[in-house]
Amino acid sequence: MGGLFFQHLAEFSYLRLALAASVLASIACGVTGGYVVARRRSYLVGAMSHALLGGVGLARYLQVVHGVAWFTPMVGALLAAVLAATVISVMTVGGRMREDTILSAVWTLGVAAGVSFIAATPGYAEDLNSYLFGNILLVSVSDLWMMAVLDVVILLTAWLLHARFVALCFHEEGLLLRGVGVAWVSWVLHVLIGMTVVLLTQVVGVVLVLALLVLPSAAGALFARRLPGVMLAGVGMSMLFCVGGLVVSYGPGWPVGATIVELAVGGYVLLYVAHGAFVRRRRGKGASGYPL
Amino acid sequence: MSSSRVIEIEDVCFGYEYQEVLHNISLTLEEGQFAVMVGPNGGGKTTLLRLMLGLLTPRYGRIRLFGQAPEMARHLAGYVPQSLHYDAQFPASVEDVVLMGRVERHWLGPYRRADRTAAASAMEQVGLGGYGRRPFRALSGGERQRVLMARALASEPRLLLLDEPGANLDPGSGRQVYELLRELNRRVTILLVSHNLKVVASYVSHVICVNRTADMHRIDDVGRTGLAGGEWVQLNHVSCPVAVHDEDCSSPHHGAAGSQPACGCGHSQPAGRA
Repeated sequence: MGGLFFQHLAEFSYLRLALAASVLASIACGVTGGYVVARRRSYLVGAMSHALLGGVGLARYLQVVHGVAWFTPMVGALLAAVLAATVISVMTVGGRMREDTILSAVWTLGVAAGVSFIAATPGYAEDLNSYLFGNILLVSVSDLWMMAVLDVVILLTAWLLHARFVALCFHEEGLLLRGVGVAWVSWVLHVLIGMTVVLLTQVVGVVLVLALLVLPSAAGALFARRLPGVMLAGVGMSMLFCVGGLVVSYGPGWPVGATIVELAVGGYVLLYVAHGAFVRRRRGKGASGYPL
Repeated sequence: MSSSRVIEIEDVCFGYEYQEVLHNISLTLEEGQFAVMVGPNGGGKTTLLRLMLGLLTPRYGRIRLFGQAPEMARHLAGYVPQSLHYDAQFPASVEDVVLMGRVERHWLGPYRRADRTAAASAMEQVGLGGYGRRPFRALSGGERQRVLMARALASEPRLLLLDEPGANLDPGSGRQVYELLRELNRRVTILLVSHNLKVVASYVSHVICVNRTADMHRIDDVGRTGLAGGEWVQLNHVSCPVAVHDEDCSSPHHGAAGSQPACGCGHSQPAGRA
């Protein structure tokens, strides 16, 4: 399985672009996913990814109806990500409003706005499918450049603010008591999550992003003791799932995004079971039960 | 305003929704003091700690930490909560958690060598030397409490606030903790909450009885008013000897000289709940 992919890899540049996109998306995915898993904010990723639809729809509308060429779907998605991150951060700071209420509103408003814009754009209704479920085989060189820039921004920000992010994820009040502005640290983290979602949307689409941002790092968290380890493992797992999905789906012509997510869920379940067995064996030998 | 005043609380009232928890509290903690807050459960001890840290805002009155609003000066304090509502599976080592006590020192970038040295010394002080690389999630409750204490120490605080530091410890470790606090008290002002005044009495300089109202006494005076010996238990669990005040904070004469709490040391009348 997958032999055809490698035969065609040298021949077709779109396959090489897809492979590069998988790798670039995985880097951001593992790093940001570590924070998401440590902070238990999977639902935030769901809201953020669906909010992107609004930005993508707006971009399509402006491009087609008003001829604003530079407003690409990725620019629209980024704008929506920053806007969603800001709204979520401002509305939930200090428990002002219930977080799940805000997330539900952002989630559904994004989808609604996307549907409205796409309906107002002549001839692009069928495009909706590729935003919802992704189409990595359509990634262009300029998309790839933008993904690379986003990766650099995400890695640099994570390196500079890692200490604050860890403290925020561990115990928000503890960070507040050290005199650090929790509101802006959590806003930056939300923007990072939004950027990562934009990257991953290129690979698996809006609906399936949640799985890819959470499962590789969650699998990493089973085995790693510290957050950097979780992130490293997350990057590795994500590459495995993305590249694996790409390769496996190519021959039979399966939808790539769906195959990647199925692989991720299957891989996570397998690792979870293996981890459980590992822990039981160690406990049997009188060890603490914490691996590595 | 004297700079030696670490905590100043003036005429503070606080309540959650319908119930007043603290009424007309006035307290001053001076530099170098070692005070313990005692009183019945629900008497408002933890609430008072959270007010001092600016995590809660008083309904009436004024609180100053190192002469400033608590939000501005709370990084000078090390706070050791009784327990944390954190993710039990959080992937962090003991050193990671202890280093969080120094998170505000650098705007950007990773922790420096000085931070790691301070963290190592803090872990050593609480008896967790060599625990740095262990996963925090694999520790016992008592060990976690000591990690939180090391986190507070790593911040090199001028004031230590501890909520029931002995609660999860066996008597031996508890004694070690109090010995350490006595040692630290040479340079750090300490305020702790305890259920067991008998255990801490030989270490502290002042006792604050908190039961809706609060009164502060020198530990020697508490002994002289006949509360020593068997009556410690009474002081701890049933009737912190403070006067009951009937007037509400919203009453117009609140804060006037006449409404100052009269020290009720020696009374054993339980403070009523509003």
